Amino acid sequence: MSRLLLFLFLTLTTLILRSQVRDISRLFVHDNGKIYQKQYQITLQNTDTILEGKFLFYKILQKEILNKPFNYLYLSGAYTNNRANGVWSLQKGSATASRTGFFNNYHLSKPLDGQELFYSGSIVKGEKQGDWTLLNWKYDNYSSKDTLLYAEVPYKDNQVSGKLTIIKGNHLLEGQTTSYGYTDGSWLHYLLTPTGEKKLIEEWIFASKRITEKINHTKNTKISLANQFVDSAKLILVDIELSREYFDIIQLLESTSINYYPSVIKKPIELYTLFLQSITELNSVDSIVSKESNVTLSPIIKTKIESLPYREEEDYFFKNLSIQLRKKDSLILLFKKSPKIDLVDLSSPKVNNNLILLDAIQNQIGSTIDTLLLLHAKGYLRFVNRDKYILQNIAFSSSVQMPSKNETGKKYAYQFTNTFKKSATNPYLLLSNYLDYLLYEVQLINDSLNYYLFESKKEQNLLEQEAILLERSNRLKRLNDSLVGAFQNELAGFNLTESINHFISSQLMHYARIIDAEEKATKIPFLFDCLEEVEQLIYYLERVPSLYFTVKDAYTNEVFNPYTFTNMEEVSKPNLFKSFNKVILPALFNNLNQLSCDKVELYKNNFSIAFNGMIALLQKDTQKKERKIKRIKNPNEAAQFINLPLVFSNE
Amino acid sequence: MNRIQLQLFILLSCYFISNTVGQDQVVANEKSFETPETFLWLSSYNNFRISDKVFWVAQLHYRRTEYEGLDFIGRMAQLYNRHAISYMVSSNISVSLGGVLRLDYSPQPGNDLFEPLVYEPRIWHEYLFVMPSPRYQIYHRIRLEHRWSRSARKGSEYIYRNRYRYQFSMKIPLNGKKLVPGSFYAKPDIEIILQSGKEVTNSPIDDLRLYGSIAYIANPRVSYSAGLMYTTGQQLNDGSIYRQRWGIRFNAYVSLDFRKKSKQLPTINFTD
Repeated sequence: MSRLLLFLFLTLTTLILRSQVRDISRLFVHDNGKIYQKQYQITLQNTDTILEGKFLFYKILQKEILNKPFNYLYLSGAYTNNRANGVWSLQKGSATASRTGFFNNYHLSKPLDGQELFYSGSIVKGEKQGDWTLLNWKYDNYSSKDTLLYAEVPYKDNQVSGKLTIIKGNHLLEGQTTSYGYTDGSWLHYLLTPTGEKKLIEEWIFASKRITEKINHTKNTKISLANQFVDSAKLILVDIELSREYFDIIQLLESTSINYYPSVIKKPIELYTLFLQSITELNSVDSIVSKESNVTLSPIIKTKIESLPYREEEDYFFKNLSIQLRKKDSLILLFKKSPKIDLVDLSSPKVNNNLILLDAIQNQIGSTIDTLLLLHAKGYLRFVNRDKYILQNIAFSSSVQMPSKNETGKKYAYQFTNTFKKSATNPYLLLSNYLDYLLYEVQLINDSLNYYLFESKKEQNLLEQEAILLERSNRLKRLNDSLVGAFQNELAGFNLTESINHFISSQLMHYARIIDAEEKATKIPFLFDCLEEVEQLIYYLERVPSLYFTVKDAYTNEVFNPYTFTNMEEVSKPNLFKSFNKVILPALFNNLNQLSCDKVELYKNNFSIAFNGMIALLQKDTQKKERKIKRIKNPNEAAQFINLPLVFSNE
Repeated sequence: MNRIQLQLFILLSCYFISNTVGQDQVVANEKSFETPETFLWLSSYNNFRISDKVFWVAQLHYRRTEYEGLDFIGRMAQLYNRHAISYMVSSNISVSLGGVLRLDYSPQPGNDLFEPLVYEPRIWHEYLFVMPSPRYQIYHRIRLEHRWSRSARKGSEYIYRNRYRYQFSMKIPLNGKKLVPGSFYAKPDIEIILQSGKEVTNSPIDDLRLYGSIAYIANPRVSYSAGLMYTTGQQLNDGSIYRQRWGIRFNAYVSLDFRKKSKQLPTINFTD
């Protein structure tokens, strides 16, 4: 029959076209970096150019990509008298032609493997009519490998109308639409058994073009999705496409219908998902081809839904809520990103636990409020009972479940410092109060952590200072060992090197005995000052031999002995020099044997005073003093006698 | 000893050898040694520095000798007063020129045949060469004396003689490596004294002195020494007879600096 009709059609068409001038046009269409070719036939009728005959629109494939995965699009159809008419088919997919090709009719052919969305049906005088087939399939060598989705979309006068069938694997969805493309009646979701039987698992009931009930036959639950709003007077019924947004809203409605708390919007089941994906793909094809062909392929299935528009005070509330939430978030973020928190602090259990607590607040409480704000921003909340949603989804809890375990190895909830009192009945006010409460609690946690960090930083700083102190003292001892040696020890008459090292050690030992951190923090700068002065003393002691010899040289003359014919050393002012050498200088060194931090600089300066004083005395008339000084054995008296302002430890 | 010192030493040696060998020779009798005498010399050697190069040498000897059975100190022998101006040619050479006035006491005190005190003036000049070594000092001393002497016997006349003395000595520190204040040192000393003059016929060897002493350097300016000396030499009248002496000597060496104080002090290099 169809062959006969085709024969008649072709014969008639040929007869008509004979009387017309026909031309085939080809032009390139550039879209988003891709090149397509549009090929159509036009006929000059009277003075008008009209579309008549076959229409092709396909993606130009470069030869060089044929060995790689590539995407393709091929749309074929026909026009009659400038209107789409005939069978229209879309093939959109991705394929790989990697296998060895073969020559066929002087062309190299290569088998293709891939996945394709196929959508085909009839258009009569520009309107889609009858059942259109939607197929999403995988193929090898363009032979069916797996059918991912099969759908039959009924059209009447360009509207989806009639019985809609979607099959995916062992799932079957059957639905009805009205003549205007609205959902109608029961939409049934079956599970296909291996024996070919259909088992009803879910039922969506549409009445008056809108969903009223959702029945789960597996769990025997019935969820009413209508008349949720108390203030029904302000309700309006709005059109909405059967899309992802719609399924999201249905899930939202579901959550307010039963005692069900979705932390995030759950995705629709896979059956709908793939169908919706296919429709989305058809939409994307439409965006390219509809302006070139005046044909829209994507089916539009509509439904109605109750909506209560946002009130002005609601918008204001959500705006404030957002500000409050951001304040809390930024407070948490500010703390978490604070330079005060570093790796060392993270190793502290207190800091780590508090960071986990802040994360828990963020994830458990903050995210539900975030979701609320997101739903508001998307406009989804217009379709649900907001009061109910808030009361059902926000816990208003005075504690938060910690993901970590406590000391006993069990999971536990962190109790906030204060208990939240649900004094307000208005959910918006309640939520606002709760956020204030939460902000206060976060602030308390932050304050507590900041105080802890401040204290631990102080302690850490002290530890660092102590490490430096230890290193410094060790370095000082090494310096002492290398600079204060045998000669100084000989001049001193005791092991001066050991004595200074002992002094350094004893200072550290005294410090180590301090238990109170505050006292330690007060003491440590003085200790640094002390070590600094000891360092200066060591550097001075290094010079003492050369200074001593300078004085000795100054007091020593070279005398020629005419009997031996040799030069001999002779000390000028021998009593004075002897007193310096035997009484004063040993006492100056003896000071260092009884060193204390407050006298280090004083004792160091002693040397300078003594050496300079002795040089000054050399030029003075000291004959009388020289006679007397030899009887003075006390270093303090000797120093006073020759006017040297020296300090001695036994004073 | 450097080249100049060596040349000077050879020149002087030739001089006094030619003088001694050039004397009229008489046939010598068989040699004999007298019984040794004993003596004690207390000496003070003073060296006063009056400029960087010039010293005033002032030496005083108090000499006693055995007499009437009392060894060493039996009687006063001589008082010896020697002065000179010494010039430091270099750090190893000095030359000196001066005079001596020796007071010779009577060999037989109370014997009227002898005068109780006889003066003996001399002119002397000396050339000292020092050979320093890290551990000791070696000294070559050449001293020439022009002396006018006479016997203590009353009525005797002054005779003129020249004496040529060469002394070799060392100073070896005992308690250290160098001669410094506080050092004890040993001083071996040998001196040959030759003489010439009209009266010298067969006795050119006036004296040969072997002297060993131990000294102590108290400070650069004062040293002390004590030693034992053996001497032998020909009698002037009979060269075959050799007199012998053993003596104990105590010496003090004083060196003072009479220069201005400012010149004595070194520059102070205290730069702190």
